[in-house]
Amino acid sequence: MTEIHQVLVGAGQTDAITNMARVLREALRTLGQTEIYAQHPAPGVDDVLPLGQFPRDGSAGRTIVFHASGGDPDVFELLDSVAERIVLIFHNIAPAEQFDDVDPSRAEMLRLGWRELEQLHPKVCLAIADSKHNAKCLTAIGYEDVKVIAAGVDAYRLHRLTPDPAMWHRLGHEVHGPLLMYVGQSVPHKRPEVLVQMQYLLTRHVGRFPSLAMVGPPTVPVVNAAALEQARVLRVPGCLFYGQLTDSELAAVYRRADLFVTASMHEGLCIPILEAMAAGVPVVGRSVGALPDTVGDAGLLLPVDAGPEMFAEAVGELLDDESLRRRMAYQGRQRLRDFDEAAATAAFLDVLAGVV
Amino acid sequence: MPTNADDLDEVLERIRDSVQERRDAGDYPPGLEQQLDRHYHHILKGFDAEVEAITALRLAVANLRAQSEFDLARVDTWSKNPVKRLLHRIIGKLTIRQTRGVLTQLQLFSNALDEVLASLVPMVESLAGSGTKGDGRERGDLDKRLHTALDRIGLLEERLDRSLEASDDLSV
Repeated sequence: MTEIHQVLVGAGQTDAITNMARVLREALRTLGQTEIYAQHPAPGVDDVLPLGQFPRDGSAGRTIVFHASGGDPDVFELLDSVAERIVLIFHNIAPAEQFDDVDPSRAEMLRLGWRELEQLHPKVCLAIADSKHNAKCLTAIGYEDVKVIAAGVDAYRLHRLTPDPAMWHRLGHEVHGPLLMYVGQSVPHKRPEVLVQMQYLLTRHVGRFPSLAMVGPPTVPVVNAAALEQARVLRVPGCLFYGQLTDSELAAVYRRADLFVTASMHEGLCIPILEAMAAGVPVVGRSVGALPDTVGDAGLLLPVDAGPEMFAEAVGELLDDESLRRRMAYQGRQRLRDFDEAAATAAFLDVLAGVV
Repeated sequence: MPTNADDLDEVLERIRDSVQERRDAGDYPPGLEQQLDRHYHHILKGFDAEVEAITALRLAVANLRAQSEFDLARVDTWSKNPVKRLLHRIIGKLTIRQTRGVLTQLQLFSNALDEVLASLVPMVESLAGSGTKGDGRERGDLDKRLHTALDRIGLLEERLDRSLEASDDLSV
């Protein structure tokens, strides 16, 4: 019987990579036995098995699909020691130098991630990247014939959900004026503080009063705490730090939002932007990493060195131009045709068939 | 009608112009972005240093507590030389009352020190701003606001200098 198991470093209830693995699991079930294993499953994640339970006595006929997004010695030890073929799905690795000051141990794990990818190379029978940008990064360290497939991306996942009524009610009370939203982990390279500073400029210097919803887990707590503290000390109005939300709560925020804004300096694909496009929310970001390919004309990409002043002006420009926002929303839906879940899954199964 | 790259280039150009206009009009004072960035990093660094200092203090206190169990059994009487070993044991037996007395005094002192530290550590944490309530938090806030105010005064001084230079030029 065919056995294809997926291995992740971490797994979360609402984590993007875990969700991609869940989508792929449904597809892989049609081929045979399949499970998702993770070294660090978050509490409450009961559909992912701890990596310690991975059966090491497997035959050489078994295949492991490894989702790479960072380093982990235990995961590497398993992948390096087993006889199985490895299919690599590369989601990119955050820039380690951004973590040196705030979380040195995480920075070391990120550097380790690149070294592990190089060492695993001889065992990888198929390399897949979920964006052209990520494929380039993988090619740069010696991988060849990298397939670009956004396998497991379900951009309309939240759009199909009924927005959480309590969250909808809360937004009704807390949001005044247009709603700008950001979704992402609190990590240094996502630069959440630039959005707080943008909101400061909008409200104190430009005379606009939107609300800004910041959503996502405090992965590096000090980054989140410092952004929140700056908002508090500068008395920035309308900053709503919601932290980690459930899918239906997040669906409510997307439904209410006017613009999705991110100041991130590094993106391998950016699932929240795809989800914004699915919800018809135009995007403002920087022209970095995979964003030009992901966003295209469905948003406004500012230069890499854009600061809060330019972000504030861009937000003002888009809030003033409803027609442009509508055109961007339309363009977003058009672009999502390139991220069709069924087509990507079929392409994934097709290339997988070549090696299994 | 879909957007196209030309549309977006035009919008970007307008945004650049607007930023420049606001800078020229003084809505965005010179160095504002750098000031906000410095302010954020000051907060970030403060959080980091506080967390590190508090962690070091907690570890030091835990280490002190681990060393605070005084016991006769921990007084070493062993020696390679069997005669010396015997001698140490005999002296130990002869001075057991005095040794116990010293150990009891040390234990009492250690217990008192432990009580002092138990009261001091939360106060230090609060003063460092690692707590979420109390006067320490307010002191931390004041410190950060003062830093922001000083930054702004610096900015105003720069503008004043430039204005004076400009008026000098005009008078010439």
